[in-house]
Amino acid sequence: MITLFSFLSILGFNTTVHALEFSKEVPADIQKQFLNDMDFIIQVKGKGATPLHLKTFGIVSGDNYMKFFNKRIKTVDLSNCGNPNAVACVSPFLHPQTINLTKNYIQFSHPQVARLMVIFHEARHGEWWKLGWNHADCPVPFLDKDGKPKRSKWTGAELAGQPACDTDTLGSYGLSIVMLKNISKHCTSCTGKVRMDAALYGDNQMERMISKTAMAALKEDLYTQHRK
Amino acid sequence: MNRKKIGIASILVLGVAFLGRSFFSGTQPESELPSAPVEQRTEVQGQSGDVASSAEGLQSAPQDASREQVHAKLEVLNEILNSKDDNDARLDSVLSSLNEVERLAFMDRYQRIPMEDRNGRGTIIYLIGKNLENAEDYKFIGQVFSELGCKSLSDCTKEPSVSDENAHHSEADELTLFYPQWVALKAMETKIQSGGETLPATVKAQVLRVLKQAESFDHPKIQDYSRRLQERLR
Repeated sequence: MITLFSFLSILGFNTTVHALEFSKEVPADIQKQFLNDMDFIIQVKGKGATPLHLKTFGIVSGDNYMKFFNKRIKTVDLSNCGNPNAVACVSPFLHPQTINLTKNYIQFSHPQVARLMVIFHEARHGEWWKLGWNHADCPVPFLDKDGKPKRSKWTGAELAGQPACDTDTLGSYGLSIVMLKNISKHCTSCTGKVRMDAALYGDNQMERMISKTAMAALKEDLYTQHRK
Repeated sequence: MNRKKIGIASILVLGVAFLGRSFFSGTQPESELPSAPVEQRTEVQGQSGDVASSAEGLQSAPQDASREQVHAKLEVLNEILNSKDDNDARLDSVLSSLNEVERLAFMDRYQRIPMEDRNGRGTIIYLIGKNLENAEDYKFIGQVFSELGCKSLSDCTKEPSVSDENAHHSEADELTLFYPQWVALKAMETKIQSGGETLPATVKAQVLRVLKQAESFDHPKIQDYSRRLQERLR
């Protein structure tokens, strides 16, 4: 059994992480990639953060991200998450402290920040005491800014009516937006590519916010003047 | 982009790849390099004055040292792509500045990365995009919008079905499908931001050409973003 704690101890990292247990079902190559990704997040250093980030994580730092993660997730397992395109998932009511990775975690070529975005999004769903931050159903019809239905580019599938939107400012989508946009703005240990990716994927997730109040709060926090 | 230009670019890339394979036949395939590209480039330069001065510099440079440097940078690139570590500090140090031969080698590497490696392809576009110096560089960035869109993260040519749709994270999935194109747009945005009002007319024209190519790419959000960037150029 490999634990994140022992992995980090070997590397000499001084961080407040708890043991993270991998199920024996998780193949070694997926474990390795996951640990490498967590290693990246642990090493994040930053200066400052926006108010919503301070409220949720504290300042931009690997320690803070790991505190958040470790409070929610204790084990890593393997699953197909019920969808051929899924990368990771959490079952808030069955196993809230287990994050399931799929084989796509290493087979799909997402940027590193996008993988971590999904991990932290799913960790938010692990908050059983908040009923897993259930998503809201996307409105019917769910229109883009040109008044056309939001739909998948290739399959044409519409998001209208799907439980894939949020009304909470800091639900799973909002949380990952706040995290990524702050990494893009405040991470001092990140490469330019990571900061670019964080901005790209953070902006992209705004599409799922459907409450005007939540959107206004996020815009005020992330898209107005720079904050310390 | 007209066919003649595409043809020239193809000859260049193929020539660079061929020469590289000949010279570094003993190394691993991913480390194949453009070797002594001066002759090949000179043919193309006749039709692209922008690279002439760089060619003179290369002719006077010690070729072995130059090849070693290109080889070293390609190895670093390969290590980063294999590790999937986007926070490798060498992206901002060793690979931050690429000379013309190195950029050609990276363009050649791009062509040999599987379409499904969206992040790998985007990484190379990101690196070339930070080093836009001549017409070939802009041509390379623009060609990203001539690629067929990737339809599935597991197989770009595979028609996805509605039942495969992962509504929960489909927004991010779709961004990754078009990641190379988005990175190309971001490179243009950075160029516009860095130049401000003082962007030279020749650069402005090249950026605009790329943005026009992006505008005709079959993706509404990419078209929209391209239009907005064009507005900022005016």
